[in-house]
Amino acid sequence: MLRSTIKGIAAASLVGAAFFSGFNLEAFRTRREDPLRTSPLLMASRLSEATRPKEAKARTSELAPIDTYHSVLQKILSEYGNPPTAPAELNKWRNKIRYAGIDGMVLAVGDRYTEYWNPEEFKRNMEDTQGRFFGIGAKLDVTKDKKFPMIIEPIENSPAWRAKLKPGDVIVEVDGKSALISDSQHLDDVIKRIKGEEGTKVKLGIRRGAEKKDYVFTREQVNSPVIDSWMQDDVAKIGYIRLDLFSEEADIQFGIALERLQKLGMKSLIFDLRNNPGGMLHVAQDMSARFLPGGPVTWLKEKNGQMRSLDVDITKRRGPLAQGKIPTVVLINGGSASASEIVSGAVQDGGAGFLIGTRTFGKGLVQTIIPLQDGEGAVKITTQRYYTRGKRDINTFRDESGTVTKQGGVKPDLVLVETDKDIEAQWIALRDKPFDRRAAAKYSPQIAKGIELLKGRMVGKPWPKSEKDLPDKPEKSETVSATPKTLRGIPTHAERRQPEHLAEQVKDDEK
Amino acid sequence: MQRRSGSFVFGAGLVLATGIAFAGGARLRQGNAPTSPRVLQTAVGRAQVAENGHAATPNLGVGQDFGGTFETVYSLVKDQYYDTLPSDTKMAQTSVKLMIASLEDPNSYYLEPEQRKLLEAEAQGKFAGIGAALSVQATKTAGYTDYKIIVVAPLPGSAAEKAGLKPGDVITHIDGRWVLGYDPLVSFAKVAQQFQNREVDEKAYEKARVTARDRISGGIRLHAAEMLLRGDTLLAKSIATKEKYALTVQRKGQTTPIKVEVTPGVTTAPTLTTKTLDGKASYIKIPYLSEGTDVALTKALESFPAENTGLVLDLRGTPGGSFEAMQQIAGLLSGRGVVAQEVGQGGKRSNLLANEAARVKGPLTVLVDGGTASTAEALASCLSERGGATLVGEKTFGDALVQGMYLLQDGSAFTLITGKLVSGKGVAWSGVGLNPQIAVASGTPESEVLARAVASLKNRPQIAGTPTTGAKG
Repeated sequence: MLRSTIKGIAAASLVGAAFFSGFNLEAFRTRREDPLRTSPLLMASRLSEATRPKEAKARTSELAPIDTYHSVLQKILSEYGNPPTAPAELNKWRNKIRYAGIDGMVLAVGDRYTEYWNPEEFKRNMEDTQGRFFGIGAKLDVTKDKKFPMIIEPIENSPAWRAKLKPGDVIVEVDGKSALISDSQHLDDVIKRIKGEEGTKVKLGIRRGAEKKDYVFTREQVNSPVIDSWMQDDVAKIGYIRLDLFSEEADIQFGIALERLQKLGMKSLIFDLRNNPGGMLHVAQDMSARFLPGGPVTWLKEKNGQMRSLDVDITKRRGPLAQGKIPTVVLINGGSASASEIVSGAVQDGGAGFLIGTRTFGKGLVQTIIPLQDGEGAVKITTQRYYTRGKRDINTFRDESGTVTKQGGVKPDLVLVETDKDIEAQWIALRDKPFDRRAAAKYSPQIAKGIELLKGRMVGKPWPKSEKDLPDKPEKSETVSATPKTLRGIPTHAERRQPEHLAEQVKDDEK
Repeated sequence: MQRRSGSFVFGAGLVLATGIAFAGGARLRQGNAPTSPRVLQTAVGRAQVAENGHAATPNLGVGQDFGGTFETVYSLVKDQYYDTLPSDTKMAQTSVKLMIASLEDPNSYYLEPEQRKLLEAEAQGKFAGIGAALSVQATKTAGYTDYKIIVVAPLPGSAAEKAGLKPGDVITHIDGRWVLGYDPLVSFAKVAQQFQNREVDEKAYEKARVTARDRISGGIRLHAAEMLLRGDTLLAKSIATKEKYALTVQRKGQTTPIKVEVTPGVTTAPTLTTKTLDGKASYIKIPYLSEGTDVALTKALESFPAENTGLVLDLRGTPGGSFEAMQQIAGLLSGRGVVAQEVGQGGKRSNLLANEAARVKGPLTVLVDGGTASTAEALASCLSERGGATLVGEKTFGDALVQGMYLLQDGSAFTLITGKLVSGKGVAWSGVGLNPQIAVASGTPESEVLARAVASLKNRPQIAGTPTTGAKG
């Protein structure tokens, strides 16, 4: 049985009438012939009303989605026997059916990233990408026995932080209702209850050790910081920057962190992209440009098969990373996806750094979010595939059952796994000394390895032999807008070519 | 600069309070704007409203054509999706499936062409599967709705009858797999509620959790189970492993479930039969209201000797059938007029009419029981109300839902519950059944039942002056 929730309250509207006028005309013309034939009479429950044998011949003609949607929607709205009676409920019910119809059409595409967002989903998803919401400002996970939400860390200056909540505090109640994690209440559901409108209050029952206490919070806008940085090694001057999400302001924040570390005399850098699920493409482009002297950051393959590159903007001020003066280690793992893969792939292909960790997620697809008029939500469509700077296809392909048919992802130069035990050690360190993330980081073997390699690098040692994937053979069918010369011409720090020259060349090729 | 905070990354499993669900090199683009690299990089949050050169269309309110958003989304997907798209038919079908599913009504569903044919065959009296008319009924309990697949009446000679299924039997398992009559998660949530904020009895909690989990993993969807029992061979291939189904049945008045085996096949509902009973009463049994039954009835009425005085119409175990047949028969037996009413959206009533003039004279008795359902109940109530008939037997099944079937051009279809039937005078029997004027206990020997029916003909007070009487003869 399908369960679905009532979503959205947007008013119905005609959208894009002008733009799609040709379309509408066509639909109107064909719509005169109702694709539905209502059976001449209704049937009592269970016992099929008779479509007469001569009419019952299976028709095999095609269905036109727009006409079918219109007709079926009309039939349901006008004939369903038991719709809600209250006007507000009725409106919700109508919208629920409308959105379900759109959902279904998009679902048929069979791409997990292509979806319709009704107004409510759109609002929620936009909060997520902007890293901004109204809540208490704490990062949550579930307790070890997976029964309750637990505070991993309060965000500084947030309500949770001011109430002196600590990592390890267990949330047992939200507004008097149990926060018990179950099959019907996931962590996300509890988070949804904690979040709300700005200025409203939420009461949390919090257990610390054996003691339980109630806290009342006023929800505030929480700017979840997407970046964190510190000087990991004061002696060797190894900086550390971690990015959680390629949000709109991620690149600016990265610049600020970088500047601060440089002022502290940073000589090398660990850039942590582990568990970074991605974000905005243009932010990934900007950020990659910080590491690369020039050339493409990534290649987009359009629907028509054309390859188009997103390039390093060489008109912008070039930092020390792009000049190759600061040896860099990039940390990746299976949770690094999308924009993280563009950046780590570009760094690897450009020879701008050394990748440590485990193979990344493998999402070589670009989505475009298109908001719809009149608050009707948005549609997210996979519009392009992308390849790394070196034109490697990193998409992981799965069949319908979800089984991987082609392993994608960026394989690091050095594969090093962080075990559950390692993770727990960091967690314990952080619980004992809240906010001392630098100390906790020492328990990560990946960071430790990074420090070791960077120290060696600074005294002239080469990187270890890379374990990275060999480049793919280029597909024969694709039209490549850039000439092979440009492809070969991607500069690396080892080669040191003129970036300006190259950028011009790519532009010319695009024309 | 403000010191930035953030959590250490603990590997997989960490969930940010922000609930990042959005993994993707996603970009926001102004709606409908032409493709250009510059627009492609428009930032999230900067453009929330499509700009396509005209003002937002005013909201036209209820009753307008709702299709605008669908059209926009469809053309955007067509235009921009990077890879091969499924056929238009597939997209339309999935759209319909989800619209119907969003009604959350077990009797409104999408039908593949094969399934549609099964339902159409049933209207003709050909029952595949276990050979019984089935009904899905809902009981609302606190927090969730419990659905049941109930046997209305097994057809004579069907697998269901051979297995001893009775009207009212609830089919709870097929081949040991639970028919998902309710959401085990919701019911589990109730159990979980009891454990909140106190030290948990781990064993009891675990048991409830495991039961809920097993019910899901080992269950059959309600609609799939129903279609399987109605003879969906495609489903049978993918769900059932054997040629025979083992059914677990709950019967009223019995605490232990009954287990039976049925071999599915096609059963055709028997046609109308006639005889003359003692005391010169005519007897007609209509096992199913299939199309053409009215013609057979006309012939049967003509075949009785002229000296026969009354008619016993046997609707016991008649699960219903076609509306048309029901209307025609109602006319033949009680004259032109309103047979029943359908109460549809917003309580709107529409009349079901009989166009035939009455062909019978004399008293009428209708035999009913727990297997008398749907259109057969409508017929019985009409004959009682308008034809002055006496209902003899047991309480009827109580099914009055009106289900419409709508065909799509590709051969698939969907059903909608469009309303409920009530009698011409507005008497409802949905969920409660019709009570016979002369009750005959279940298990009474057939000869005695018939004797009581004949007796009721004689004792029946003469009804005169009803609007229908004039039409008779």
